[in-house]
Amino acid sequence: MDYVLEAINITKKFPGVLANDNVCINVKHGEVLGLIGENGAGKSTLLKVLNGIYPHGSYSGVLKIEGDEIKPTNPNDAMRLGIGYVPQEINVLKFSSVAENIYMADLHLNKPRIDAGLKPKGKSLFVNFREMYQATTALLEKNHIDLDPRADVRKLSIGQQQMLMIARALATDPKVLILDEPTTSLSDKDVAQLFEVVRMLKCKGTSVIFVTHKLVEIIELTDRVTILRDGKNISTFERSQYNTSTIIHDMIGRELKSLYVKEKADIGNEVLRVENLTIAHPYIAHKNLVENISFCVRAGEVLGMAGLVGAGRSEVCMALYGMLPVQAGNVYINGRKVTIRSSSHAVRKGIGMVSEDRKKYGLNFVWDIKDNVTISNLQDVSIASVVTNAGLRKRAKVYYDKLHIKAPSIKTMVNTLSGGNQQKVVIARSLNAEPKIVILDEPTKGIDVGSKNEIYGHINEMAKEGKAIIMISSELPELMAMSDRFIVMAEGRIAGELDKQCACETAIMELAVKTFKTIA
Amino acid sequence: MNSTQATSEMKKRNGGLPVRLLMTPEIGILIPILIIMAVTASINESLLTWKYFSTILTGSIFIGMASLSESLVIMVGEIDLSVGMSGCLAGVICGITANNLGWPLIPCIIATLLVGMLVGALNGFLITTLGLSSWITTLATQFICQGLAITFSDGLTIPIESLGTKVFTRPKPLGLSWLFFVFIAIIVILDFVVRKTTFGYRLRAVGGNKEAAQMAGINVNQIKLLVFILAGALAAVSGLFDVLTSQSASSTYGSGREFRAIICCAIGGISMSGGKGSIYGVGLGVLLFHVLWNCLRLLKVDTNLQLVLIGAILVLAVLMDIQRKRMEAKRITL
Repeated sequence: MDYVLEAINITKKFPGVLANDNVCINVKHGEVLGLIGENGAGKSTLLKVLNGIYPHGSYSGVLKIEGDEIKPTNPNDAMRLGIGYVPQEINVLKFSSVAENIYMADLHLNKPRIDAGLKPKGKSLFVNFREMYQATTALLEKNHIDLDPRADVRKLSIGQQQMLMIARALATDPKVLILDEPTTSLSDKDVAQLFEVVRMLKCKGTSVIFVTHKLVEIIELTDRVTILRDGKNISTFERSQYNTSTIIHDMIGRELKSLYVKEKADIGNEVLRVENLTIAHPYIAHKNLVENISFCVRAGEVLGMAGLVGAGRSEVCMALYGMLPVQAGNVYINGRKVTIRSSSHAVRKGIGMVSEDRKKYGLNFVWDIKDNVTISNLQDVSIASVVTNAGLRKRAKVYYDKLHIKAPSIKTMVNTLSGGNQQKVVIARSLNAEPKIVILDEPTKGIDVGSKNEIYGHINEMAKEGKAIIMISSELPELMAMSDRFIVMAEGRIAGELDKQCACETAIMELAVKTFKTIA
Repeated sequence: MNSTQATSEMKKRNGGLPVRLLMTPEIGILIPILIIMAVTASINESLLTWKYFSTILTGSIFIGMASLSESLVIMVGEIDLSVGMSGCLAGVICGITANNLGWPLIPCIIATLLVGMLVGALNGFLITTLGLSSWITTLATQFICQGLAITFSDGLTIPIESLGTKVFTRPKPLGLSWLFFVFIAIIVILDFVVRKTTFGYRLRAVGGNKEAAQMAGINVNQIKLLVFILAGALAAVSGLFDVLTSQSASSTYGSGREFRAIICCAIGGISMSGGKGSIYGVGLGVLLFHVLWNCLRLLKVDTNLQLVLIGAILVLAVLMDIQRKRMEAKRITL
C-alpha cells in the first residue's frame, strides 16, 4: 500500500500516564482521514508527535513519509519533511498583512523562487514586498482561498484568519496537512468554505488529517476515520462502514441512547424580560454591536439563541451580566426593573453565566476545584467574613458530586482536568451563587461527547429546578434539541422568534443569514 | 474510584514527609538561609551570637514592611513602584505633624497612615477606574511622593523628639525592638487576612485570573482599590518605622526600597503573575535578603561586589522556585 504518512506503534509516556499506547495511523495519497476521540483520548499527543513538538526520541515508534523513515526534532523540521500543521487556536500576527503572515518564515521567498526555477536569494537584509504579494496572490489563487494579500490581519474575520492559517501551512507545500479542530469557532458559512478548500486539496493529491469533535463533519468530509480512546487505537473504518452511531459507540465505548435528551420541565412565570437593549460599539462611533433586542424567558424554560458567530449573541449575554456597558434599554427581573452595572451586581440580582471562552473567563488555573467552585459565593461558607474550611469543603463537595466532576478529589488543581471537567467546574461555580437566571454561552464548546451528554443532563435539571435558562450554541442540532423556544439573531438584531414546533434547521438558518440593509 | 482508594493514591503521589516538607515553599526559602549562615559562621563566628542576629532581625523591618505592602499588590496582579516613596512622604508628614504642629503621638500615626492610604487610593483610582497600567501609574506617584516629601520638609531632616518614642526602638525584650514585634504581628494578621477571609480569597481570585473572578461575580475594581489602599497604609507603616527608629523624618528615607521589596517578594515565592504566594514566605524572603546582606558584610566583601552577589542570589532564588514548580507539576501528573 502506498501511504503518504505512516505512524507505527507510537507510544508516548508522561509520568504516570500512557498518553499514546501503540497508536498507528496511516494516510493514503489524496484522502481525508478523520481523527476522532474524546478529550484525553490521545489525539493532541499524537498530533504533537507528528508535528515534531515532541521531538524524535521522546517517544517510541516510527514515522514514515512515503515509505522513508523520518525523525523530526522540531516543528520546522516536520514542516520541511512535508507535514503541515494548523493548530486549533487562532494563531496569527494581528498587526501584519496576510502576505507577511504567510511568508514570515521565508521572507526572502526562497521556496517560491525555487519552485519557479529562480535562484534562491538566501540571506538578504531587504524584503521585496512586491514579489511577496505576487507569490501570495499565486498561492491563494492556486488553493482557491479568497483573501487579499495586502489586507491587515486584525481586520479579518475569525473564519478568514482560519483560512490564513491554512494558507500559511500550504505555502510550504505539505504532503499531509493536519487540521486540528478547525471549525470550533467558525460559522456555518465559513465551515462550508473550509470544506471546499479541503475537497480541492484532496483533488490535487494533498492528504488531510481532519481532527474534530463534530460527527457531522466527519460524516460529510472524511474518506476514512480512525478512532482513539484512552490512548489506544480503537478502530479504523472505511467510508462505507461508518455512521454516527458506530463512531459514537467506539469513541465512548458504550452506546448512547440519544445524543440529546431533553426532559420536560414545567414552565412557569416570566422571570427575565429585556426591552430594546442596545449596546454601542466600543471603538466606532454611531455603530451599535446590538440594537433593539427584546425578549423574555420564563422559569423552567430554555431559550435558545441562534445565529452566526458575530451576530451579537455573546454581547447580549455579556451586557446582561454587567460585563459590557448598555447604551439603552430596560431589563426586568420578576417584573421589577433593574440596572446591572457590574457582574457582582448581576450575581446579586440572581443571574449566573458560563462564558464561551473557558480559558479567559473560565477558571483560576492556579487554584483547585474547591476554591474555584466556592469563590462565587463566599458569604455562605464564611462567618463574619472569615471563610471556614469545613463549610468550604462541604459546599464544594455538594457540587463536585452533583455535577459528577471526574477528579481524584475536590483538592485537584483545575489545570490538570480535561476540558469537559473544567467546564463542569465553571458551571458548578455559577450554580453555587444560586442564580434564578442562567446564561450558557456555548456550554459544550470543545468538549467530548460523554461530557456533553452530562451537561445536557445538568441543563435539564436546572430547568426542572425552575431556573430560566438562556442558551447559545453554534451547534444547531444541540440547540434545537435542548431549547423550548428560539430567538435568532443576525447582524446585532433579532431576525425572528420561533416556537419549538415551527423551528427546523432551515428555518433558523434562513433567519440567521438575514441582512438588515439600513443598519445605522 | 472509591474514596479510600483515592486518598491512598493521593498519599502515594504526595510522597513521604521529607518530600512534602521540601515542597513547601517556606521551607524552600529556609534552606538557602541556613546554608548562607553556615558558610558565614564557619568563617566568622560572631554571626551566631544572638546579639548580632537580633540586629539583623531588627534591621529587617523597614524593607520588610515595604515587602508586605508590595506582596499584596503583586498577588492581586499589579505592581507598586511607589511603595518606598509613599512611605517616605508619610514619614515626612509624621515629622511635620509632630514637630511643626506639635500633635501627640496617636494623631501623628493616624495622619501618617492616612497619607499612605491616600496615595494608595490615588494609585488604585488611576489603575482601576481610569484603566492605566500600574507600572506607569506607580512610577508617576513615586515621583509625586518624592517631590511632595522634599517640598514639605524643605529637604531638611525634621526631629521628632517631642513624641518621646524612644521606648519603641530601644532593644527591649530579647534584644529586639518593640517595632519588630509590631512587624511580626502585622505578618500574622496579614497572613490570616489573605488566607482565610473572604477579602483574601477574592484578592487571590483576582490575581489568579481577573476575568474569571469577574465572571464569578467579584467586583474586581473594588478589590484592587482596597488592596492599593491597604498597601498604601502598610507602606506608610514602613515609613513610620524609619521615623520612629531614627527619631527624625527626612525625604531621603526609603529610596530604592520598592526594588528591594520586589526582590524579597520574588525570593519569598510570591508569583510575579499574581494569585499565588504566602505572607510567611515574604517574611522569610525578607529574612534571607537581610541575612545575605549582613553575611556579606561580616565576610568583608567589597560593598560594590555585595550588590553583584545579591543580584546573583536573586537569580538563584527564582531558578530554585521554577525548579520547585516543575517538580510540583511532575508530581501532579504522576
